[in-house]
Parts: sequence; C-alpha cells; structure tokens
Amino acid sequence: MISAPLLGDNAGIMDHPLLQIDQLLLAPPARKPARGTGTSLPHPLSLDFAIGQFHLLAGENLTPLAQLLRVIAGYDPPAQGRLVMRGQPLSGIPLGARGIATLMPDPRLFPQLTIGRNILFPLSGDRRIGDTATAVAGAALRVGLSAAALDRYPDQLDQVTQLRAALARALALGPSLLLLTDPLRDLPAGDAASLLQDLRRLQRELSLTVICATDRLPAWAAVADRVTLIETAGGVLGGVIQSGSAEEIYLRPESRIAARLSGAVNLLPVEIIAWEGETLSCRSPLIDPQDFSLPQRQVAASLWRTLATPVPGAGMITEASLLVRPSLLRPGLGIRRQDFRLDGRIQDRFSDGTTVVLQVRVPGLATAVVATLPAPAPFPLEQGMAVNLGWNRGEMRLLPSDTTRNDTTPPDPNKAG
Amino acid sequence: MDRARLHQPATSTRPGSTAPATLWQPRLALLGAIMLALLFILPLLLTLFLSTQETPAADPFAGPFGLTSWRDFVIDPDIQVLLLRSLGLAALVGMAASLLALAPAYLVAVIGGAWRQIALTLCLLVLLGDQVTTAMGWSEIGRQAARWLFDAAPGSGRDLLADLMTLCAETQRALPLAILCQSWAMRRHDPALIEAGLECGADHFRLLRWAVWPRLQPGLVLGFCCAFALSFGAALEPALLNTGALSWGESLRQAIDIDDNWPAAARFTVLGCLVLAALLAGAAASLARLAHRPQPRVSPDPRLHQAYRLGPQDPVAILSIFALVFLALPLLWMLVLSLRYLFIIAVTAGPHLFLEAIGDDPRLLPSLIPSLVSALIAALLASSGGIGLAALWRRWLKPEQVAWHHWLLVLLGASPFIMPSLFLSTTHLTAQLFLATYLPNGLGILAVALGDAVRAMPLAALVTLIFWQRLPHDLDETAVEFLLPADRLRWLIIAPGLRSAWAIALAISALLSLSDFQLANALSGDRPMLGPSLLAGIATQRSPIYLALIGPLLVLTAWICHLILRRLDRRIPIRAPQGSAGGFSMNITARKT
Repeated sequence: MISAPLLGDNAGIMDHPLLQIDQLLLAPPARKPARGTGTSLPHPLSLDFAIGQFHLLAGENLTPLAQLLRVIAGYDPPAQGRLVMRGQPLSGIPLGARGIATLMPDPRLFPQLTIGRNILFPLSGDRRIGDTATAVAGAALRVGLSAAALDRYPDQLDQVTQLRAALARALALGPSLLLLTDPLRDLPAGDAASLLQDLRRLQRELSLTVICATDRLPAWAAVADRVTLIETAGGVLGGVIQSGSAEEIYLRPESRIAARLSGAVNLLPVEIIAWEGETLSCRSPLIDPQDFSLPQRQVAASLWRTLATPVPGAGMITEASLLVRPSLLRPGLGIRRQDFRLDGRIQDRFSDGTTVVLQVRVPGLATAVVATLPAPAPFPLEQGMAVNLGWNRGEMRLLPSDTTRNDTTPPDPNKAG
Repeated sequence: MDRARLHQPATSTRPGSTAPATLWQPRLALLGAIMLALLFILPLLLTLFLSTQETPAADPFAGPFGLTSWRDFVIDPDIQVLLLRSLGLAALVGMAASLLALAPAYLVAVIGGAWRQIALTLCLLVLLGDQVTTAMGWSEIGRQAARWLFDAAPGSGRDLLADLMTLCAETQRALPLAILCQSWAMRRHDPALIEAGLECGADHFRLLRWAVWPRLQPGLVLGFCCAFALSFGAALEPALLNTGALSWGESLRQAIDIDDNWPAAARFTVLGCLVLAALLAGAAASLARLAHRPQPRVSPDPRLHQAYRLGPQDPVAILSIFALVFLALPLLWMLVLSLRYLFIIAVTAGPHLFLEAIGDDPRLLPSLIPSLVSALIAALLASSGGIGLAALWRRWLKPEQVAWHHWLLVLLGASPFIMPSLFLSTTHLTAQLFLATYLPNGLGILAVALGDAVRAMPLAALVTLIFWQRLPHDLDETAVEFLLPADRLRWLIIAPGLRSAWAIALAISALLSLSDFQLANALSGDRPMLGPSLLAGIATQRSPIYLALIGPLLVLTAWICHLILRRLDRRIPIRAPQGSAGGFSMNITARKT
C-alpha cells in the first residue's frame, strides 16, 4: 500500500527533485584494495532526480547500478547516506510502501496466475479501487496488452508480452517513481524498440519519474531527458563522471570513459605543445596537418582546468587524446581541403545493409581506426586498400589521456539533476 | 553484466546439481545398506514372521504358524474400530501439524534472521529433547486445565479435555518435523517472486499463498506423513494424558506389557507399518512428480532479508508466534515447574542436600551410566551408518533421473526415523526374542544402542548430505585439471571438511538416544535407563528431585541444539594443504571457498 504523502499528482512541485540521494554508499568502505588488483574504492554518491523526467544512470558495469536501484526501491539498506523522496526520508519506509515500482529483465510474474490476475495482484490489496476488472483492462490497454493476453499464463507468452504485463502490474498502483534495470537487454531489437517507445509514451502521459540503470547508453539515449554517467569500475559504485543530456554527452564528453559509454570512439594520441589564451596547440604525427590548434570549446573542461591550474613541480600536461566519432569520418572523395585526415589501409570491412563499418590500420597507431559510413559505400572499399579518412575540424574533441591527472574528475561532481 | 546476477545472489549451493563423483564410495554405501538391512529390515521380517504365529502364547516363535490369526485379527470389529479411530486421529494430527507449520516454515525459509534461529532451535529441542518431559508438560497443562474447568462441575468433559490434550501433545511433537519438511520445500521458492509481491504491497501471508505455496507440495506431503506416523504409533502421550479410548500405539503397548501376547503385538506392528508404507509410497509419488518440475534458480540471499521485514500485524507473524508458543508451551511449563521446585529445594534443603539426594536416588545415577554408554555406541554406529546411507541417497537422488522408486528407496532409508519408535522397539524386541534362543544372556544395553543407532541413522545421513551438497561441485574436474589423485582429494580435502558433519551427526544421535523412551523401555530388560527412570520419577512418583532436574536439563539441551544449529549453518571448511602433482599446484581453499 502506498502511503498518502507519496501519492498524488505532480502539479506544483515540478521544480523540486522527486528523489535525492545524499552521500550514499552501497557497501561499507572496505580496506584499501591490494595494489594492482584494479579494484576501486567506493565513492559516496549524491544525486538529485527531477520530477517527471526520464533519468538514465549509465556505467560500464550494470551490477553496482542495479544495486543502487535495489537500495532506492527498498530491497537493501544503504551502508551509508540517505535517500529522500519528496522531502521525506525513505529509511523507515518498507519496500512496497515507497510508491516505487521496478521493472527488470526478468518479468517476475506469478506463473500460476493468468496475466490478468497478475495485474490484479497489487490492485486486489488496494481497497480504493472499486471495479478491479476495469482497472485491469485499463492497465493492460495502457501498456499495449491485448485483451486475449489477459487470460493466458506467463509461460504461454513471449518475453516482450510478459514484460508489458510486468509493466502494467508495476504501474497499476500509480507509483511516483519507476526504476528500470535495463529491462530491454534480452529482447530482440524490434521488440526492444517498440517497448522503448511505449515506455517513453507512458512516462510522458503519466508524468512519471523514471530512473533507468544501464550499461548500454546508446540504446536508451533517445528517450532520456537526463543522463548521468557513473564510475563503476571493479563493480564498485563510484562518483559521477558526467551528467547532462544524451546529446551533450555524445558531442561533448568530458573524459575518455564518457566518450566510450556514449558511443563508438576513435581516440588518437596527441601532444599538447602550447597553451595560449583560448586555444591549445597540439601535434600528432598521425594526422594531417600535424600541427593544429583547438579552441577551448573543443577541449574537455577537466583537461582545460588541469592545464589552467598546474600542480607545482608536476610539469605541464603534454599527452591527450583526440576524439573523433566513427560516424563523422569520411573516406576518400568526401574529404574537403580544410578537413583533417588520416592515411591508412583497410584492415577489415563489414556491413549490416544500412551501414558499412571500416577498420583502418593507421601506421603508428596500436588500434585500428573505425569509420562508420552509410551503405552503400560511395566507392568500392576492399580489404587491404589504401584509404584516406577525413573529418571536419569542428567535429573533434580533445580529452584527457589515461595518464592525465583528474582524468575522470567531473566539472560538478555533486549534482546531476 | 550477466543478467541472472541481478536476481541471483552468490551462494555456494547450486540446487539440483550433483555432488562430486568422488563422494560416491561403494564401500560406504555398502556399510549403510548392511546396517539398514540388519537393524531395520531383518527385525521387520522377523516381526512379520512372528505375526503369523497362530497361538497367542507368551512364548514367541513357538509355532504353529499360519494366516488364521491374521484373518481373525483383520475381521475383528474391535480392531477395525481401533484402526479407523487411530487413522482418523493421526490424519487430524497430520492436518493440524501441517497447518500450524506453514507460518513457522515460512519464517525459516523466507524471512530468516533471528526468527529462523528461534524457530529452528525450538524444533530441534522438541525433536531431540526428552520425550517424557514434553509429554509430561502436556499432562501438567491438562491437569491444570481440568482443575480450572471442572473442579466446580465434574463430568464427562474431562474425557473430552484428555482427548484434546492428547491431540495437542501429538500435534506438538509432530510439529517440528512438519516445519522442517515444509521449510525444505519452501527454500525452493523464487526470490524474484517474493520481491515482486513485496513491491506490489502484498503482505507475507499473500506471498505465502502466491509465491511459496506452489513449491510447497512435497514438503506438505512429507510433513503430513511424518506427523501421521508419529501420531499413529504414539503411546506415551495417550498413557500420560489418560485418554478415554485406546489408540493403536496403546493397544500395541498393552499387548506387550500387559498381555504378553507377542504375536498380537507383531500383528499390530506389521499392520501399522503397512499403513505407513502406503503413506510413504504416496509421498514418494508426490516427490517424484516434483523432480520433473523446473528447478528453482537460487536459494534466498541473506541480504534480501533486509526487505523481508515482518510487521507485527502481518498474519504470518501472528500465526508464527502462535505456532512457536504452542511448540514451546509444554517445555516452558515444565521449566517453570522445575524452577519452582529448584527454588523450594534451595530454600528448604540447600544445594548440598539436593546433590546428596540425587546421589542417593536408586534410579537416577545407576541409569545414567548405561544410558550414556548406550548413547555413545548408538552415536558412533549411527554417524558411521549415516554416512553410508547418505552415500546411497546421493546415488539414488540424481536430479536428472529421480523416479518414484528412487524416492521410495530414500524414504525406506528414512523410515527408522519416521516410523514411531514404539513400532521400531517392537521389531527390535522381536529380534531380541529370536536371538534369545541362541544368546542366553541377551545383548544388554547393546540392544538399546542398536535400536537407537538405526533410529538416528537417517538424521545422521541427512546432516552428511547437507554438508556434501555444500562441497564445490567441480572438485573432481579441478582434481583432474591439476592431476591430483582422487584418493588424495578424498582424504586430504573432503574428509577433513566432513568433520563438522560427523560431529553434528554424533551429537544428534547421542541426544536422540538419551531422549528416547520407547526403545530404552522395551529393550533394556532389567537394566535401568534414563527414559524409563525419568518417567517413573516425574510421572509416577512426582519426585521433587526429578522435577527440579528437568529445568537444567532442558536448558542444556536447548544450548546443545543451538550449537548444532550454528554448526549446521556454517559453510563447509575446506582447508586443504596445497595439493601438487605433475609440476602444478592447486590451492583449493583459495579457489573454491
């Protein structure tokens, strides 16, 4: 049963966060990890989630993010910190009374109940709902379930229908917050796209606040109002890497990890040779032209800040990575005079019918450069063929390299919402 | 991320998977089979043979033999009424115990935490504790109730009250087995469904109905069978509570103790065993059907229990408290009674005189030594035979091919514990009578020890099996991978790991032997044993010394049960030295635990 203060419409409180996470630790701080194990120390997490928005929590590892959602839902207690929902601490409120629903890849439907009775399950305990049959039919219709499915058992239906039923059940009691643990990850692409659209539609129709944890940011980016990238290396929940809209993170990632999480990347090593006012002079023997300058807007803020505030005795940062998205690379004839370019040889080529992916071996670069072109390719691109790849000056971004100080330090680590 | 890990907590036990093949040891299994055959099947066959003796003479195995006596026995209207009445009462006890066990079993299997410890300690205490004390507790409660209800207006209500108290006593004695069987079945529930239900705002009572009940059937059937069997052969409770009508167990006891009619006693036992065999066959069929269902994914994660808080208004909490109070009631009553006597003795006589009185008692100390010796022998035999029986069970219970007859064999192995100890004592008594032809002096306390051993053997096997299931399931592959010989793996790694199982099996068998009344009463001959001495001291004479001693004994037993439980919960300690062969080394401790 949902407690009264957690229910009700969202009007009038849109400018307040629905949920605040304050200095949260999932597990108690352990002893210092052994050197060389690569295990990260947990980092207290603070986040705000605005009401009525679709929030995406993304990281390289889904496990700690899923654990975070379990703590929010009330399955597990946090080791440290607190959760506040609409100004009310959640610590004393048990699971099921928080006004929070979850949807996971496993639909968790009761196998001995029909889909209709599964949807009825939360409603039958709620005396406010008079006509349960109408409520069930309404809930099913809302998530795109057919009337025929209501009389069938979960094992008689495909997974996407089961997930829709689970969604209908989750929404039946009108939760304030819906937590998604990447429920689409096991679905075929077509089913996943259709359910994703329905999730977005429902979120807008119901003004529902949704938090989705995923390790597949690109798959969810289209529906997210706000994306928060979280450090999850070693399976430990760390701090916020970056937050913003999906587009912002894709176009202006602040770190290599943010760039990798938001889409495919080519990271080219460059040397910073000078820092003059609003521009940065760089050099890379792989690129033509070898010497070039970049304005501040094309340099990651953390790198810029590090350059601006050098640590005494540490010397100036000289290594950085140049991010060029594979989709922005153009081969051969498409290159303009003012474009940057790379020369290499096609190592591999494959196509899914809509795009052609080239792996280009560039002399002096350990990993192949990837270029994604719309199919069909503008001219024959065969394996072993020499090719030039070009890109627009404004389409690249300078990121801290792995060895750069504060590689993953976010510009504002505390608040993402 | 592995999708399953979202719901599947780390656990060492993979349900449904087999133990390493290294554990299959034909010699051990042979030991278990021989002990079962010698100490259970053979006495049963001798009893069957004796039941065909035509003459009701006190001289057993004197002949002539035939089926006339059986025909007369079966068509006797009194026997038919008695059988129907006993079956009805046993079914009633079975149903009552099964219903009462639901909520505590849910506590044990799903809620966990302190609730689980309390419930399991109580179960072990009733299961392994002194039978006489428990029965006497109900007798005292009944007496007090009769005083409150009928002092002013005595009448036929007393018989009704006695019947009711007998029903309560038998249900209470059967309740631990019902709880354990049901919680075993409930552990197969899907935690994801519990989570989904809790998220939907369901209370634990609804979850018991919708998330756990579908998995409950085998535990329910097995628990019912155990409760039914206990009630069907109960003789101590009806005798102490002065039930108006005779029960099957009491009739059997009268045939031995009063009529000296051994063939009739054998017929009572055989017919009782046939009823139980039919019941166990049904249970085996139910368990075999279970094997064809999909296996549950995980056992519950202790972390989940944080979310499983049980509110005081939850029906499961109310029902559990009721069931646990019911379970503890006679013991608490006797504890309070004992404390009262202890206080009076301490005030009036002092501890010195009390100890002197204990020393001077003609039964207490003389019965203690033989009982301890018998318990020790029984524990050693039971724990050894238990390992053998566990090896047999492990062989029969391969998850991919568990058929009806496999379960029947497993239940046959468990029968010495499931069947009433009165039946078991009769079969052993029959064997004693048969042996008396060749052994003039009899077996003495060894007879009691053998009876106790075979009764405790299934429990010892169960404990061994629990520990075997906790062993890493790929020990064999690891041994092969690192070229470690199987013998070395067995004796250096597995055997030390099973020490805990051995210790628990010893403790359980010894406790079961010390707390038993029927076998000691039937098989000890003239030698004083603890069970009969306690019955005489508490029930017949109401000796203050005995009544005062009950409390400390109860506390001691509860403490031992708590220790047993703690060791049972502990993960198997595999502390092997590094095994090495062929230039490779293997640290199983690091890799597997």
